[in-house]
This record gives sequence, C-alpha cells and structure tokens, in this order.
Amino acid sequence: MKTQPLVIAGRTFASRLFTGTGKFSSSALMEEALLASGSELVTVALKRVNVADADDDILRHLGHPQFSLLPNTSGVRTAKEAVFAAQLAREALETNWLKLEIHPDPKYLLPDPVETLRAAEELVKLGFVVLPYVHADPVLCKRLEEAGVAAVMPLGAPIGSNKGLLTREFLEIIIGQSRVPVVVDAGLGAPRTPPPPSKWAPTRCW
Amino acid sequence: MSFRPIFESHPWDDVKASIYAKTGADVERALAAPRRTLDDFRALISPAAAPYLEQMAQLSQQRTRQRFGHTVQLYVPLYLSNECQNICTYCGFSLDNKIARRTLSSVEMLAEAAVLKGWGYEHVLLVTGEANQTVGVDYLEKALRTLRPHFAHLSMEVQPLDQEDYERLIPEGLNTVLVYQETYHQDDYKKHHPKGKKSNFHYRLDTPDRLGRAGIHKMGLGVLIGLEDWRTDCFYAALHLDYLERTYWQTKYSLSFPRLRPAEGMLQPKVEMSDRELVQLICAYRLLSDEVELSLSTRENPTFRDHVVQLGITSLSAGSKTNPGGYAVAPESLEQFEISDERSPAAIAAMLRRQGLEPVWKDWDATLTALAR
Ligand code: SF4
Repeated sequence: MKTQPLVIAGRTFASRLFTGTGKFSSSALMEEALLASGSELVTVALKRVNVADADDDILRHLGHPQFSLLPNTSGVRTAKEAVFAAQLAREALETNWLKLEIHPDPKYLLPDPVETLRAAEELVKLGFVVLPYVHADPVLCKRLEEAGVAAVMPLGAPIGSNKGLLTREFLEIIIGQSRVPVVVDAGLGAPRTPPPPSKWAPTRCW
Repeated sequence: MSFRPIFESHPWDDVKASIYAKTGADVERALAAPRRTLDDFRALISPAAAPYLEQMAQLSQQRTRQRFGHTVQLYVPLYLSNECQNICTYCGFSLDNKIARRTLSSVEMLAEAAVLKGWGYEHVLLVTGEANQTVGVDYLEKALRTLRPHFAHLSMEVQPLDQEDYERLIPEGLNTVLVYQETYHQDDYKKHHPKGKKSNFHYRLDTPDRLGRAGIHKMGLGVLIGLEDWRTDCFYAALHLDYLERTYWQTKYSLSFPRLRPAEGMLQPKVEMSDRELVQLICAYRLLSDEVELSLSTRENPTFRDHVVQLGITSLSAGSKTNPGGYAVAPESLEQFEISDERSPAAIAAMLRRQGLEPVWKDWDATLTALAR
C-alpha cells in the first residue's frame, strides 16, 4: 500500500506493508513475494534462522538493499527473556530495531501486556527502536508510547486466524489518540479482508 | 490438581458406547461448528464419519495451512540406550528379549550427533529405555550437556520422571518431553506392561501433570494404536490434551498416533487401524484444535506419509534409526521396531518441496532454552 510515506523513528518507508517470513512454501517464493510486495520492513524470527551460518537459507534470500530486517522475539515468555533475546538479535542481525513479542501462551500466541510494557521500558533505555506487538488496548498503547516505543502494533485478530479487523473499534481509538505510528498486526488474512476506513490511510500504517 | 478425577469420571465403556452411537447428523453438526467440542470430536472419530472423510481432509488441510503455513518441521530420534527393566509386550527392547544391550557413552553420542548434523538436523529426540542404574537422571543430564551445544532443540522420550527431575533437566536444555500413555484402558495396560516401573498406570497418567508443573516448554501425548479400540483411546488422549491446555496454558502440545509395528517377540495388534481410519483420526485431531502439532514418524510407509503430509501433519521424522548407535557407532544392532520409510532426510525434504512445502530444520534457538535457566 503506497500513500504518503510512513516515518518510524526518523526513518521513512515508502511502503506501509510490513511482511513476515514464516509461512512460505520455500525461501525462493518468499523472496519473490516480498520483492513483489514492495515491503521494506521484513520480520524475521530469531529462532528460525541460523545466524552462525553465513549461508542460512532464509537470510540468504533477504539480502536485498530494499529490505530492512525487523527481528522479533517470538518464543520468549517474560520481559527478562525478551531483553536478553533482543540483545542477541541486535548482535546477530546488526540492527537495533526490534519487534517485541512476548507470548507466554503458545496456543493463541497472545501478547502478555504486563511483560511487554516492562520489556519496552527497559529496551528503550538500552537504545532499541521498539515496535511492540500488543492487544488492541488503547490504554496499553498510550503507556507504551510514554515508555518511548517507536510504533505500536495492535492485533486485528488472533494470529493466523485470517479474521480481518475484529478489533476495529479499539483500533479506531488507538489511532485517534496515538502520537506514534500504529501498525495493525496479526490475523488480517488475505487481501479479501475489507480495507480499512479511508481516514486511516493517509496517516497511519496498518 | 491432576487429570485423574476427569479421567475417572469418564468410564471406558461409556465413552466407547457414546462414540459408536454417533450418527451422520452428529458428524454434520461437528463439521459445521465454528469451534469444535470434545463431543464433536467423538462424532468425527466415530464410524459414522467415514463417509465424510473427503470433507474432513479438505477442512483439515485448510486449517493446517492457515495456522502453520506451508511448512513441515523435521526431526530425528537419537537412541541413546536399549537397556530396559520393563516388560512391554510390543517392544523389541523389553527385558525378556535376549538382545545385546548398549548404552552410548558421551563420545559415542557425539559420533551419532555428527551424522545427524551432517544431514542438517537441529531438532533431535533423545530416546532411552527405562533402566535407572544405567540411564537414570544423571545419565540424561550428561546427555543433554553433551548434545546441547550441537543442536537448537532437544526433546526426550524416556521413562516418566518426578517433577524435581524435570526441573533439573529443563535448565540443561530439555525443551520437550514425549510421554505416551500407550493405552488409557487400565486392564489392558496391565496386560501389556506386566513388569517393571512402567506397570504403574497412574504414575504414567500423572506424568503430564508433573511436566506441566515443572514448566516444560512442550509435551507430546499419544496412544499406541493397536492395543485397544483406537477411537476410545484417542478420545482419552484428546480429553487429556483438553485438560492440560486449560491447566498448563504456557506449555505447547503435540500429538502422535503410532500404529503398532512388528518387533522382536511382540504380540500382534489386537485392533488393526486402516490407512483411511488413520487419516480420519489425523483430520479429527486437526478439526478439534487448529493449534496442536501433529507428528508422524517413519513407522508409516512412504506412500502414506507422502499423502498425509498435506492433511494436517506438522512434523515428520526422517532417516530414523531405532537402535542405539544406529547412525554411526553400531549400525547393525537390533532396532526397537522396524521402520517403514527408509528414505534419507534429503529425500524427504525433496518430497516436501515437490508438494509445495518448506522443510523446516530449525524452529527454535538454544539461546531461548538458555533463558529458562
Ligand atoms: S516400550 Fe520403553 S519401557 Fe517398554 S520395553 Fe520398550 S523401551 Fe522399555
């Protein structure tokens, strides 16, 4: 989706689409799809890649100048673990950008709000550009903004559910009062999902 | 708190009768439900669901791809020992089988590990029999310490342990424990496990609770299909899973459905499960839960595996040897059971790719396990 540029932490993105890397049928197809999408920020789970291997299949296919990697902390269950994993990701992938994901619940992968806020506070102090994955909770999003996160990433629906914007009412509130970009994450599904209200498009990412 | 009261409130004969009483209308209702209950699951595993197999398979495939993407995790067993003090009627390692016994030393473990690393494996399942003198908790701790630097993810399928033992092993790199009840039919369980610690049905039944309390990251459940009526046994596995998911909500779960394979000195299966019935079970588990991992071993033959890998399975083993030392140290020793799919891991990966599925060799990182310390 290309409208007016999106700016996160002083960096301008021509594309408002963030993409994942976990579910493709091959790394070559992933590369092709990501290139075609125009996406510039690509999330990578540290657990899926072998950073010690210069020839890692996923990383090898992401080595295009237009892609910036956004490591995520998928797999951690507490703030303490997230901070540790973030430091490893920063060292391994040479970026201080971080998608903060803390889901102690491995079934629905729902984010833990308490641990996420704690981790965000700590990570911002450590110099990370933090993009936390959270529930569509307007108060939590304001608390995270006050903690200094670069954007908030509230979920549209449970991960992998392809249900679209189930949390629309809350997303509207979050967007209405946010001073940082709002990136709607998770559960959106295929392009058949109805588009967001037009007033979202010029100012916010989703 | 434990599963026992729930288990005891579901008498075997009642469960069995309720499954066999299900009708086509019950199956249709289950298929149409947005979220399925355990009662829907009874309908989906019942004989009445047989004519709906195609519909179940399509739904199962779609749910699996949506949740797991076009990926299949690969893992391999590493047998560390065939010492066993138990008599299990279906197992080649049973105490009453006169076979050469072997327990791998650390050096031997590393030789085996080198072969598995060479094949690309990062997820390894450590397997032993039950012999506390030789393969007790100290040995398992040593094995984890030895192998941990070489793999991203270590699982174990060994004797049930006490909670404190699990608490000791988890920080050493133990990520997942598989513990199959074999059968939830108590009398039949006794018949198949006449001697040794494994004959204690309730200690085994309580094991997932001990694992959950110890904070294990993932556990695998299942029954050995062929000992008893598979529909009833698999209902109990689903009931157990349902209880565990509600109780230990931070743990991840996987299910397996091994069919009894020929082994030295073993009984013939009491109940045969056809390929169609196994497909029905796999789909029924998927339709009960979008999230549970479903695992298929090399017990099944290549044709069957190639087909069902599209229908709900999320992890596969490949290139497996079921004898300690089977990869490098003692390739000729006696296996626990005969495998049916002898294709190499590379051949399995190629088969997956041909089917539009990405073989995933690594989906965990040892640093994440280190965080549990
Ligand atoms: S199934 Fe396990 S406990 Fe039973 S004889 Fe075989 S190795 Fe021993």
